[in-house]
Parts: sequence; structure tokens; C-alpha cells
Amino acid sequence: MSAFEKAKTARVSASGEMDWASAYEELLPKVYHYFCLRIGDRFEAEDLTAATFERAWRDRERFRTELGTFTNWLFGIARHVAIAHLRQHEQKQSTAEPSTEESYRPTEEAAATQEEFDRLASMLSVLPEREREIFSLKYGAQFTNRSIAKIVRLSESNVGTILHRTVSRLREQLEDGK
Amino acid sequence: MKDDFIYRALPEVRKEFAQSLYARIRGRPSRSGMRLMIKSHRILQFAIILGVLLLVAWSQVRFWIRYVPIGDLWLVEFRSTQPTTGIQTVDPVPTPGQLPTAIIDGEVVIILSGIDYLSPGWIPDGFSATTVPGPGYSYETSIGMWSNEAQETIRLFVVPRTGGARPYAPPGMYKGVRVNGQPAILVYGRLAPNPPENPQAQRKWDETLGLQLTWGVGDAIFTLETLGLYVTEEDLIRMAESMKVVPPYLWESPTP
Repeated sequence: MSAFEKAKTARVSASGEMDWASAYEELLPKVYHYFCLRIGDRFEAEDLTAATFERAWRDRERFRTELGTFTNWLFGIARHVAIAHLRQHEQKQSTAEPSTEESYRPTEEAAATQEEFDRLASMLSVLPEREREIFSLKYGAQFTNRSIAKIVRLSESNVGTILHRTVSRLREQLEDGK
Repeated sequence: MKDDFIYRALPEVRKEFAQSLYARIRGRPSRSGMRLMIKSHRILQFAIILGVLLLVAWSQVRFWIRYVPIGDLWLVEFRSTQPTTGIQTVDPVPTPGQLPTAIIDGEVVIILSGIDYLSPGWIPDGFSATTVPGPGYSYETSIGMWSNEAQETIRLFVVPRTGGARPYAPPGMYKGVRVNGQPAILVYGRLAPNPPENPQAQRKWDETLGLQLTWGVGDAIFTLETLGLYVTEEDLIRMAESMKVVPPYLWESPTP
């Protein structure tokens, strides 16, 4: 059984039987990428990822396997964190300055990825909220279409259609940009 | 669906971020742990406050009164000018326990059954037996009185060992002595009465206001007291040592 599977099925007990190290290792990139795509800023994504894991750790005794997998539970928290952030962001947008991280010096390869990501983020920023959420759950959190359908309360085929349409549009924009 | 361009664009998680976040969250307690910590903290705070209050109360009580054992007797030592509110010059501090009393003719009287009646075989020069005044004190019963020409008096009173009176004095105003080899307490002076023009003033201890010699016989505590320095402590002890048990019918007219 992979660490991810362990994380999906593990139960957090008072005695601390949960394999947090494995779950963290497996789910950290997914949560981070979810926020990257959902928010469009790598540094804000780090902050929100930290907030999500901190809240999950603090509330770990509330997690119950009979109510769902650990991944679903964690992403439930992540989605709440994202919504709260977006609300705050909307309120502060008029006076907010662009995010900076002086201590971060990307390598050449990272700089290329950063450029690609910035372009992708720019394209995502014009997507409607629902499409962006579905897109983030698919390519960030790596949920299946069926899981996403349950989360956003749409049919699986609807989710598939939205994703297909979104990805096609992004690819076209990307190719046009080149 | 060609979507590999999306995965390529996703930034990797910085190692420093991943490590620092992991270290940070593992060092934090859970919500219930925090609640427990807060609860423990509050209990600790409450215990400290309670402890301080008890300490203050205890120190105050220690400051006001202290029970000093002298042989099989107890003396109430107080540190302020007044031992406790409501105590009059001649009202001693009662001992714990139920004072044996009965209502006779509408009056509450102390029952002295089983208590020996004493009469002295020797009294200081110039003194003679006089009429014992009627009951006037809450916790004691006068059983003998002697006076001289100057109307100076020596009084003998008795209280039950349980529920009766205890002598009281500030530190340094009493000492342990012996009456026929048995432990006794000699108190120098008493609380001075307030002047009539200022009855509410704080009363002061005046060591010139006589002596009180207290000793125990069976279930009773006897006290010989004077109201001035007209009898020496040696004479008072001698008088106490000369006390003999007399039949109750002789109590009304103490000798000699």
C-alpha cells in the first residue's frame, strides 16, 4: 500500500497512529499545486498550504474515516482556506501590492517553469470561478472527474466537458501566444 | 486530452518550505490539546489565586491569634491590641466544645456538676472573704471573692474545661508557672477599658491591671485574678496552692 493509500485510509486517533509523515509527503505537493492553480501566485500558495496543514494538524482529532478519506477531509479544509483568501483578496484588491519574495532566487530551470506558470496563471485568472475550481481540483489536487463531480455537485460528464473545454482553450491560447 | 503543458508549468514545492512547515506543525498541539492546556492553565491560575488567598487568610489569623499550649492548658495569644471583636475586658475566649449550660428560672447558667469547689487555706494579709457577686459573665462562674480595706479584690472563678474560657494575652505578657507541681498560666495585666469619652477607641493592653493565675483541676479550669498590682505573683501562686476541695454546701461561704 502506498503512502497515499495509507493517507487515504488512515484514521487519526488520540494515540497518534496516523502516519503523518507519509501523508504530508504525499499530499503537500497536491495541496500546494491546488492553491497555485486556484490563486495563481506561488508564494500565496505556500502561505495557504501552510494554513491548511496547520489547521488539519490542529484539528486532527476531528477527522473520522467513516465520514470520508483523509484526502477529501484535507481538501475540504483547503477549499475553505481558498474561499476565505479569495474573499479577503477581493476586499483588498484595490490597495494590494503585487506579491514579492526577495529571499527566493530561482534557478534557470525554475525560472523557465516560473515563466510557464505565470503564463498559465494569467490565462487561468480570466476563467469563471467554477471552471477554475474544477481545473485546480483536477490538475492540482489530482482528483478524478468522479470525485470532482461529487465535490462541486455536477455530473461526472459535466465535469469532463468543462475540463476538456478549459484545457483546449488554454492550449490554444498558449499556442497563439508562442 | 493533451494536458502535459499544465504539469510542466506547475512549480515544485520548495524543500525549505516543506521542511519548515512540517517542523512547525508537528511542534503544535491539537485543538483538544490546546483546550487541555488552556484548562490546565486556568486550573493552575485558580489554584494559585486560592493558595494566595488561603495564605493571606492564614497569615492574618496567625497575626491575630495563636493558641499556645502550656501543659494541659491553652492560652490565646493575640498580636493586635484587641484579640477579637466583641471581647470585653473580662470576657475570655471560650474553648472549643459545648459549654454545659441549663436554663434555670429563665436564666442560662453554667452547669458545674462534677466540678470540685475550692476554698483557699491561705490568703494574702489584709484580705477577707466577701460576698460572691451573682453571675455576670457568659463563660465563667465566680466561686470566691476576697477584698481588703482598700476595696481591692481577689476573685476566683471556674469554667468547664470544655466550652469554657481560656486566658488570653499578647506575647510576653504571660508565662508558664507551677501550682502544686501542675502547669499553670500567669498573665500580667489585661485590656484596659476605654475612657467613657471615647468608648470606640482601640483598647490597649495594660500590664499594671492585675494578675490572672489559671490552673486546671479535673474537668474544671480555675482562675485567681486581681485588678491591680496589690498582690504579688508569689502570693497568688501560694493562695492557689493552698486551695482545698470543699463540699458544695460550703461553697456559698468560702473560707477563711
